[in-house]
Amino acid sequence: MFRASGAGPPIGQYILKVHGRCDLACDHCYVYQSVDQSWRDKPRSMSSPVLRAAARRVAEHAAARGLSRVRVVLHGGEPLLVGVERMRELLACLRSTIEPVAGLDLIMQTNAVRLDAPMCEVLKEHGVRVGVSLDGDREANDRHRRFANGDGSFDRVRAALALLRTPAYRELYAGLLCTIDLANDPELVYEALLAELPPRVDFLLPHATWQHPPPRPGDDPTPYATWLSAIHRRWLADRRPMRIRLFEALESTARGGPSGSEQLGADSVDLVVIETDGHYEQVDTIKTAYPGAPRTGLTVLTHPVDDVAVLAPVAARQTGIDGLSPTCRTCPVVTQCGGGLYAHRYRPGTGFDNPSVYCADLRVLIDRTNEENRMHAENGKPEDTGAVPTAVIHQIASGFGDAETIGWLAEQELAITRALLFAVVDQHGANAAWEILGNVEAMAPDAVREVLAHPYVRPWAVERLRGGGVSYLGALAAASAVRAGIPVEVEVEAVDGVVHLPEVGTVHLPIGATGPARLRFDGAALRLTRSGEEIVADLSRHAPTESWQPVRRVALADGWTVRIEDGDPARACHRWPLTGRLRDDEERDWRSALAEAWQLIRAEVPGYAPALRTALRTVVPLRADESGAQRASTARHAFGSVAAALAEPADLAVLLVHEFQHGKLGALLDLCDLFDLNSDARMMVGWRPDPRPVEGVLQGVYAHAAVADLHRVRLGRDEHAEQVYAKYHRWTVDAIDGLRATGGLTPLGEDFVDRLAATVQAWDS
Amino acid sequence: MKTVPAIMESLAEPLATIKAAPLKGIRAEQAARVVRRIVDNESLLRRLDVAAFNSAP
Repeated sequence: MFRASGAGPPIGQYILKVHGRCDLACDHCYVYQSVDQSWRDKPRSMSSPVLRAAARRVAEHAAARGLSRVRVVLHGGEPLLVGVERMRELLACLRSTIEPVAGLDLIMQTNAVRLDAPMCEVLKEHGVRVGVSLDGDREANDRHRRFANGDGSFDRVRAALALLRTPAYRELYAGLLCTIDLANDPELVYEALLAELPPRVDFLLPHATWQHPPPRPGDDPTPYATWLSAIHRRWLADRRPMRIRLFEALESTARGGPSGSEQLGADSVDLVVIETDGHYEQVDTIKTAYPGAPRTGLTVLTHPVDDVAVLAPVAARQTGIDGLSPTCRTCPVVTQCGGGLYAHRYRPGTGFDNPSVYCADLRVLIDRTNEENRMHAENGKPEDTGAVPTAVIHQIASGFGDAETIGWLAEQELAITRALLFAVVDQHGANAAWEILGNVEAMAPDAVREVLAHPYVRPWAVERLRGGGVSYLGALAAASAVRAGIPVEVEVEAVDGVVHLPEVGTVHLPIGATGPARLRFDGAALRLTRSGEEIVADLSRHAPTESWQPVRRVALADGWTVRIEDGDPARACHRWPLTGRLRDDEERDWRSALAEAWQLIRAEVPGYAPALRTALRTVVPLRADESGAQRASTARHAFGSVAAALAEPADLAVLLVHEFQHGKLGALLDLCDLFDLNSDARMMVGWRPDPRPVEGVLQGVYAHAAVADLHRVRLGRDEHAEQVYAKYHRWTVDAIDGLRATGGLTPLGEDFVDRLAATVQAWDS
Repeated sequence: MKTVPAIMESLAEPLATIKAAPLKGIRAEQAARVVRRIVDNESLLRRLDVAAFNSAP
């Protein structure tokens, strides 16, 4: 095989054939049904010496080329055939060998018919993401994806996908891979895939070459374009409910971006296959071309990855459009098509130096999707296209945010909570409380809205979706009904001696009481029955009793009403120790401090007041620090709440402003990426002794700028202000510079930081 | 490893649909998108990578 000049490209992705056989006998599989039958001569599974050698080769190549991350895709045959214990061994070998050198992303592509809980536990332990092959509904899938005895695999695959959607294993679910068959109805295929709630989907054109063209029944000259276009139109009409890589690749390349796909675009392909016997091979889809097509003759036992990287066919996959056929290079859509899948270009005599055998389909598909995307964008409102209003981003970036901006953010947060609540029910099953909540919403939507806007509904839902927590649905239903004045009877859960009804109040039970209780509301009084005892709360009196604490609302100047929350167990998501139920004198102290702090905020830094007034609904009292240090916290999922130990009003004003900056930024970060979540960047900051990730620095900068601003206003009036201002100003300016240098910000994040920096710089003038 | 950030998504799109629907009328796939973002901390940067779903076993 020819060698290219130079060292060859770095190879960052490895398809590891850990098992060479399959438990399905799909008649469209390129491994077993194509002209290359080399699988017959290879070991059934990868031996330990080969595995260890492969891991060492990957690690030494990553070290030599300075790769910070590599990806290994467990593949086959069917990788699950190795079994649980062998899977554990091989994953441990890969991690222990490669991770000292480079980050390791592990992916598995599987038919999933053997995927069960014990295997999922192993995959979870090693962070393996699982892509599953599914061709659509039962008829579509079982057209090809059958066992050797002819039985379809649909039911087994769906059971595996249901397992991958459970809270315990959802993190493993990478997506679905669907091979196209024109005999299948595209919309039925789309609906069947969508029903599995996949994070991502990709469609695979059937393997074909100019020697063995794909079937084209009927008169349609481009039936594959027609089939995919039907799904594209439906996908747009449904507002892109799942990620479809083929369509995203076309959107990206239409804007001059990468395709991220072998099927389209001219991205360089930095991957190598390692077979069960240790031989390196080129991408194995070219097995469809001719016998032995992917062979390199090199093996992990005797050759480093560098020897593969310099081979001409591997290096040729790095040359982009320049490496395509003359016909392709002159085509107007070449930057989007990129010649199609390499294997599809094969023709005896000219090898791979041809357009794709799907050339006509790809041309039509590209033109249609471009046009449909353009029309969809023109016809949609900004929110339809997924855009966060520019004014919102600019206002938050300035450090402030008017009532309209913050109100918009609060609306998004409420929608997030509603979605998570739905997902909890979808995951754990509907019950009577869910029915009640839906009925109350139909009669009194504002009551449900008020209850779901309680900041601690979302932290509870997140915990529930991660497999923890207890049902809160009964409390939400009861609270909504009470707010609406609708009689109700529902089961609720007592947690640590309380039953909390958001926006209504808290029933206090004996300390530690936990478990189900029955709650009844007759329009005037609440009755909670548990273990044969009944607690009655007369809501018309609006007065606390030993066992009943109405919600503590504090009405402040300028129309701000804030709740003091000392009952909801979900507030434990704050890191610090909480107070118990406040005594009357403690509540008075809080009311007084909040009123004075609010007065100071309005007088000193009125620019921060609209945000607080619009969206800070709740303050959670924390236990005071024994040394007297100030204590405050924002919980990432509890937008609209801050926790703090009671402080002097001047200090409480700073704490409220500081902490709610975290809330505002957190809400924006829910909606868009200001930094690259995959960035490993860390930097030193003035306020912590340890290197911090980009998100931590961004949050710190944003909040500390506000603290500096507040003390800037106090210069000359507060003897400590100058020192505090100088410290926070320096921290902020230094960290802004550092953030820009990390490379971890997205373009939107860079603009955000620039705007915040402009606010800080304006103080100097 | 060939992964390239391309287009930025936003959660605003599924949220617009969710806001307009009653609780029991929320579509599972829209809620699932929110779960992946909020609970599973999924990036909104469409990170396009060549090897994902490389081929079907």
